[in-house]
Amino acid sequence: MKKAPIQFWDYRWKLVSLVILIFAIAYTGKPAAMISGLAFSLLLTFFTGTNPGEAVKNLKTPLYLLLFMSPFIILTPGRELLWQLPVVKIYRESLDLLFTILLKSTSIILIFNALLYKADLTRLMQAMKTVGIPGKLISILISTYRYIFLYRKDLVKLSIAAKLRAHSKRRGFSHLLTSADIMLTLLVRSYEQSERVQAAMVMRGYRGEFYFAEKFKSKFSDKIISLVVLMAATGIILMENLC
Amino acid sequence: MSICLAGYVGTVALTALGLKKTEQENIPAVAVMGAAFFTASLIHFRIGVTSVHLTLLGLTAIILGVKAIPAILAGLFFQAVLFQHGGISTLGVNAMIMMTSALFCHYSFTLLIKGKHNKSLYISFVAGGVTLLTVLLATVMTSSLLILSGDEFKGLALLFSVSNGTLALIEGVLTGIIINRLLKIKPEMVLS
Repeated sequence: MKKAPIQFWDYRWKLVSLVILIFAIAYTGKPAAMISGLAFSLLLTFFTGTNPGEAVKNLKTPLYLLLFMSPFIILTPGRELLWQLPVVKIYRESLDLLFTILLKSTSIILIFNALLYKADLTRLMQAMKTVGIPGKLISILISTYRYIFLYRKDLVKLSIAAKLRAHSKRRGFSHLLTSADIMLTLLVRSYEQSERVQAAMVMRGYRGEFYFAEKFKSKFSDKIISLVVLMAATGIILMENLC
Repeated sequence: MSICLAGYVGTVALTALGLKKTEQENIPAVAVMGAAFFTASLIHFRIGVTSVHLTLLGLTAIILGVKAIPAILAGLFFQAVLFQHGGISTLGVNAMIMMTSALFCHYSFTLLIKGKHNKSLYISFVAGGVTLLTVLLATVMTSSLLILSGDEFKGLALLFSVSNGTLALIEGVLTGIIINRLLKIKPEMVLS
């Protein structure tokens, strides 16, 4: 299967430059800077070969949440009254806030999607270690990542077992008791497993650090792409301060 | 933006404390328990026609103690990366609020059950009460930060406070029940 251009970008350079870009967009508040941020994130999505369908899928949840929150945002009182209807008043500040959240969250999610598109998470954590994140934390992240999937499988099995026993029809306190039992089973199992895993890893010589066999090698093109992204981030910040 | 950066600074300081208290040999155990808490928080709980996800903040702090700090950070990181819940720019603020609340929960629980290790019903009530206060504390901190971000966020802060008030009550009851059962079958998980 053909690789997308973003998959050739060195993980360390990609991580640093895209995180800086995310913070530059989070810093913005003026329409021109926010629209530029969105335009650059769309360009990034297009040129890096990120699947647009996946980007749209990732945008769905935050946009639904924003849609749910929008009546509360719109009805928040402000200073400058725009429209007055029989029951509600709509202020400029509320609409500005809705527009700001929509633009900034869309841009940040698109960049985040580019950062994670077909990324190998273990390699991403290796890159995090290279850029100075403590080894202990990386070890916790790697181990947590491994066990999340294992426990999700366990949870699915427990939920099916509960459904077979007509748990899904229960309501109120009875539902709370069954949910507590499912969580308890999961936690006791994981506690016992954590003791076994710890003993097994210490016996195999684990001293709190993971070592990666593969080393990073950056190419000239990695630096150029990162430079373009950093220039865009600087441009967005300048636009915010000068416009 | 200044709140986001302050959140990151607070998170870095608290993570340093958490990592210092985590022995290298304990890392697999912390990670495994962290993953279990993260998974357990995916369980839906029905309230009327809607359903909520629990944070299990109190339970995590009671069982893991100060070691809950890196586990919380890992949980939030994977929530952002795997499920796109929360963003990377707000990760610092979210983590700082949850870590501070977890520390409050751990220290108040330890203080209140000191010398009363054989009273399981009392410990369960304390666990439930402390969890309720922990979630309320996290709610107050989040709402205050929202209000500090601008007057226009007041409506959102109110909505957040109301929904999390209900969640705090459910979490308190659930944690009390779980701790009560753990004291019968695996007391070392709670009293170590």
